Amino acid sequence: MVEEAVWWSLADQLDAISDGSLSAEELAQAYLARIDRLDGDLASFVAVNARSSELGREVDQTVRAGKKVSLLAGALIGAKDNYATKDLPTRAGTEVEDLAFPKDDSFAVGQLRAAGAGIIGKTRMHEFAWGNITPPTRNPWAADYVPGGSSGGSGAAVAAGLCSAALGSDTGGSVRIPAAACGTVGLKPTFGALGRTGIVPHSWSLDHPGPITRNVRDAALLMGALAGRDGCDPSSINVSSTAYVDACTRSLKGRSVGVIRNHFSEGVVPDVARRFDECLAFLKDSGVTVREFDIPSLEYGLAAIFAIELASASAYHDRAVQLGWTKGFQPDVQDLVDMGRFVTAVDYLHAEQIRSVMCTEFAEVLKTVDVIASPTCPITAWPAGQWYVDVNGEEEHVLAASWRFTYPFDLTGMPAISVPAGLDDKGLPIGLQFAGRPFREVDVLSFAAAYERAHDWSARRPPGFD
Amino acid sequence: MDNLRRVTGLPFDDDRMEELLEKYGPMLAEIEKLRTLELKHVFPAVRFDPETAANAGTAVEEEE
Repeated sequence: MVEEAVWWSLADQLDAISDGSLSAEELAQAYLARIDRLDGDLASFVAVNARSSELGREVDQTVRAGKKVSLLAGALIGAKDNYATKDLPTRAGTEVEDLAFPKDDSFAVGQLRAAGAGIIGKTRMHEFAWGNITPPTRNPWAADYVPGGSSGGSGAAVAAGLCSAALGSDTGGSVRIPAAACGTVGLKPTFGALGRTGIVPHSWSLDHPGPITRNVRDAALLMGALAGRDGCDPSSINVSSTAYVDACTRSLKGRSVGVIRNHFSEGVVPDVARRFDECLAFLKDSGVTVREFDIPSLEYGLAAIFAIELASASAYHDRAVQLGWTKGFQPDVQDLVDMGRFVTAVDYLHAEQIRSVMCTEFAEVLKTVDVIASPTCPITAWPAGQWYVDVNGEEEHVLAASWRFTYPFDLTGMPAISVPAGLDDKGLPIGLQFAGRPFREVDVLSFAAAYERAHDWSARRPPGFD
Repeated sequence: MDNLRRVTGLPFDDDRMEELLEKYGPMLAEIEKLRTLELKHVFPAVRFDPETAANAGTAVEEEE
């Protein structure tokens, strides 16, 4: 049974562990064996916690003793390598040994451990979260394709059945892009909803922690466990709620969705566009009203995120730049970190101003609809080593194309989720995105869960891993 | 290039500065769009909480 249980949703695993029908120790052993057997080629983990089986044994003993176990007892979560962990090394994807990182558990990892979860290992990331390729991690659906990033290891590990769920972080799309590319669910909650202490920063005002899971209900479950006031994160707000899981059963009838005509409808490859049209047809058939809007400030969105992300990442790494340590970074990351000081303070503040404008425009739209829908990415995963893709006859850089529909919701801080929406003609996953009002994760979860219930995409397994 | 090094605080030689300026070009072309806007009535999206900030500023280390 345990060989099949590695593919169960986290919620089903927890139910079976708590009633004694599934051994947490055996589940841990099964995941560790799969990592040992499959991750040599996939390269989704950079460190594995050999104590996972022991933690599972403790959970089994508690169950056998007839005691109540914690909410996430027996869960085996992969943590992106930028989440500090007291029992596993943290490198944020870098090989520069001079750089030191926190030794204590990050707030999010502490929240998961407090709820009974174990950290099965650290997942590979694009160095310092400054890219969306995550070399050398492969895409489980096609080994020669990238898994997306920067949380590519988390997306690949969940898709390949190597852990119950994983943590990612999203600054311009780094939870949702690998989730879409690997056929998993990725939730980027509202900015401030989840604490960030102990996560190696990339851009302080854009960084969002978030879970990558096999289905929407698991994302809701982890959202509830991760939420809580982080007293060392100036942006943290206490939003503890038990409503997230309940939202996943809500009907769509009588509700409304917005489609943004400009920006989000441009430059979409045909397979993704076709699938999105089918999603809209499904929503209409489900009793949802679809309305169309424009967000004029999106014309300046790329400028805003370039200015804020470049300046912020370079401020974080400034001493490393001055001391010459960035020479040890990967070439693409070194260039981005080294050039951030070219962004002037005035440009940076203009970027923060256009963010305000964008927040106002989205808020106006969300006065009349519950959520906004779009493809998560206008393209699917691309071959490793390829830097340009053909988007309807136009060559576009893969990095520019892949985050085009995700970064607006990092700028606005709105909650957004990616849910699997089928495969393209090459068999690569497509993601559907819902974004909602700040702190209304329940809305995006309910739409994503309703779509998921009516389709079987989340249950599909990549060939060669089942 | 000396003046640019001083203004930016970047410690690189001329070749590296030229290389970075060239690679920054496409991003600058986007950022320049912001300079065309009249934004003086828009409050920037910065948020400051003095109480929590008091817990977040513990890592100022002097160089040896």
